[in-house]
Amino acid sequence: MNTWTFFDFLTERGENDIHRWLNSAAVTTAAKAKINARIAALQGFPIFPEQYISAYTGWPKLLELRIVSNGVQYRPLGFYGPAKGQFSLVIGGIEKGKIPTRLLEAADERRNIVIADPSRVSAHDFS
Amino acid sequence: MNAGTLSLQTRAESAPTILARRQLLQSFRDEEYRRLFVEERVRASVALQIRALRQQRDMTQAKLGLAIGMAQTWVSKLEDPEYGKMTVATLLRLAGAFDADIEIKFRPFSRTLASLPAQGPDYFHVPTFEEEFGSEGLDSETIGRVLNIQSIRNQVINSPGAAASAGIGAIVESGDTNIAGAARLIENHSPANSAQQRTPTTPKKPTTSALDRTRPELGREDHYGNHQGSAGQSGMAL
Repeated sequence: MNTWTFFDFLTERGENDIHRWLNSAAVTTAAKAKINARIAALQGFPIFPEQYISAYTGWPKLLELRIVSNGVQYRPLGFYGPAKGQFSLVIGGIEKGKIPTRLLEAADERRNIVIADPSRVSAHDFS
Repeated sequence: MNAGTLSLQTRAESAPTILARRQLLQSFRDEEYRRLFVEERVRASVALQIRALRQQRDMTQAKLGLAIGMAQTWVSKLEDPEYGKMTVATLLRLAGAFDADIEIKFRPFSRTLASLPAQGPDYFHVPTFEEEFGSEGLDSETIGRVLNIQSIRNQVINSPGAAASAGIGAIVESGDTNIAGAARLIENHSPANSAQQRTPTTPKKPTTSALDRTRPELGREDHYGNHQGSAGQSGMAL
């Protein structure tokens, strides 16, 4: 049994936004495989090591899975929750250098939505 | 057995786990995807295992570096999932430093799919030889039975259909890596014990072994400071 279960953010219309992002043209097959494999590996690890995640000053609840594929940094953002043993991915981005504030703001807004309404996430879609 | 309907559900399994396995199978039909998935899974799993085993042995990166003849900065790289350039020689040195065996084995994707959802804390916990067979030791008969079960476990993993055999599936899926845990499972699944379960009698007083301290699920706390019990029920179905 896994230590962690990963969840994906659902839009108001119930669409899995993380699955949409992972299957968009912006994310290569290599990156998608890498992100999903990383999630699968992290599921059993008690505490995510610092090499695998990034935290941001001023955004204490948000974490980024650190994933680089073919020199491109993919930035799936999430948080621990909404319940114990859960980690929810709320938004994905591909931004060079410093992560844009707007992406963090959007992620935090979605975090608040999920905290208020846990039905706005569903189990991570590996397809 | 049809690989598309592979079933090994000797115990209850959550719907998300079954769904995740189906989704992965769907993705694995893309050859590039499955090749890259394996590449990343191996890199990340090995890096995570090195970190986990180092911490279980209360070693700093510098101390582990000393043990394997490498600088601390190299140990940091070995724990970085993006590195992925470690050699078999390095892994063997790490195995020596951790006082653990290491298995490097090719396997079919059915095993990948079966094992991923069960890659829990036990996967990252590897006791040392001393912790498994230490001086407090179990009697030779128990050790012999456990080693026999481990042999059966390997056979069943390589031939999942056989796991339907009564009692074996639970042991195989338990992921128990130490003698004490396996001995407990054998006891639970022994015919005599099964008969006892069918015919209620005075409950046996639970026995604990000094080796229990090597079991990570006992007394673990999560990020929320909540106690997490045993790994619980898990099974495999696709």
